[in-house]
Amino acid sequence: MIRFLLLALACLPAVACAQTPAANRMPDGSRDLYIGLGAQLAPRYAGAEADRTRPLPVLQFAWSNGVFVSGASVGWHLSSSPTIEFGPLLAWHARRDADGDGGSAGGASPDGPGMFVVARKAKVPDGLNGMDRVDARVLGGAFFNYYFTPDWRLTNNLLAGGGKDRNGVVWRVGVQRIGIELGRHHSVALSAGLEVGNRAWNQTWSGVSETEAMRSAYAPYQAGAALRSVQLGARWNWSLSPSWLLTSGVEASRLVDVGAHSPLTVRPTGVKASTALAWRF
Amino acid sequence: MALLSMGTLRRLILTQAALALTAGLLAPVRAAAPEGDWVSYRDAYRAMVVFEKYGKPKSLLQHQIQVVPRDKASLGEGVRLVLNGQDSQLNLPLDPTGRTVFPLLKAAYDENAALVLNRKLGPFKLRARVTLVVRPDGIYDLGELLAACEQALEYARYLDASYGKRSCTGVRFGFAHGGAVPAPVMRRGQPGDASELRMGEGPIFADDPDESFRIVNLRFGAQAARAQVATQDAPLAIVPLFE
Repeated sequence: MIRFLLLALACLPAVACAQTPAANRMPDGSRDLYIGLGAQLAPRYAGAEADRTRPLPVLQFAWSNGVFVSGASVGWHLSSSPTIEFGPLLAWHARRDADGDGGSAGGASPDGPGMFVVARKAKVPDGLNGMDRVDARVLGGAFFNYYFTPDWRLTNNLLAGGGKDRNGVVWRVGVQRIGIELGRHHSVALSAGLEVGNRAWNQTWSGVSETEAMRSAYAPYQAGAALRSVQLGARWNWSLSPSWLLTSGVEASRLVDVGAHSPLTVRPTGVKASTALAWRF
Repeated sequence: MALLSMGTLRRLILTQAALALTAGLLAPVRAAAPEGDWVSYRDAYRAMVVFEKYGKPKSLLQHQIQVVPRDKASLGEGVRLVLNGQDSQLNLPLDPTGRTVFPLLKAAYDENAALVLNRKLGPFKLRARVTLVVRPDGIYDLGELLAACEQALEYARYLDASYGKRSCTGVRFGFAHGGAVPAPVMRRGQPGDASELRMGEGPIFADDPDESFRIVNLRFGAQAARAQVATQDAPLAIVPLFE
């Protein structure tokens, strides 16, 4: 019954994730905080040919009133049921320019800390020269998670306000298997998910406008509303003591449909790997 | 070396440096861990407080935490769960099944305390256990056992949606292993219509590693509604059975 700390999700490269940790039951007035540092290897943007390694600060806070900060998202658990979680969600989405994604945010787990990637800008341009800069955005929406059993959950995040004109909407749905114990203090979580965007969202991240085509080497491409990517991930947590956690994850993400057809996509399958040491206090 | 580009070489060097740094960081962290195995009090609290906050009927139930050795060894006598705080220790004696009442303490949660055993017994894990309340007079009406089982099932459904289609089929009385434990007696409502229930050996909880307890499985379906169960020795636990 005791479910140990788990990280379940990593995120699409170049996309700020809005993962929701499981409701963290604690005494009134208490909190459960994680902070740490590690490294992450990820594609420079979704579909990019080149990878880059970035420092990986870990950040997850949960308070007894249900408010949580998980990676680059802030949310509020409103359900008291162990089998259903829902509430409002805000997520920060990094800017994109010729250097690639300015940063992305890592996942939060059903039971553990999330990650917050503060990307250091790459010095070498790759692939996005001539493309419009997309400013950082705060997306707003909601999350809904349903537990089939305590170890299997369906996750849903619907966020709006992204893209060039702040009218992009993205829905991320996933299935997670959490709580796989691999002996003493080691646990693994597996996840599978997909991302569906409306036209504005997909056009921002996979499309090439006429103006951009003039400036860049890419042909114009209009991306409609569609499934954009699918992901498979695994996360391994090693609890070194009640206060220290080594968390490592790997996620394979494949751009499909408009994502795969986009002229920006050089390598439709990207792999992201990370490891970090976190302090719980 | 000519086969390696400068970028690849630099990445390899950085990876080596990161691994060395990680190893250096982990050494003092691991050294700071409690001696022997441990479980985070926060994680245990998180699982155990659910019953406390559960709002539906639960008066016929009790909720405890159980220490389960990972290597399937027996806990033995005198083992205690110890809550190690910064300035204090709280000893939690375990019953023969390895269970104890879990203290919900804000101070222990806030200081991120550890739960350890008073003896080095190897790795262990903790499980939340819901059982039926043991009556001091040892007399159990079948209707009351069924009602208690229904309360436990409702709580199991609250925790786990997959219990939706299960139903209460009976209860298991678990007694200490070894020795001559008197079998519970089933009284079927008519004077003189009483018989001992069949006692066997097995685990009290379905996934319990210790299978040497004396147990009695009582099925509801075959019993008269007014029947009673009388026990001479108090059971260690009365476990609801769902199918």
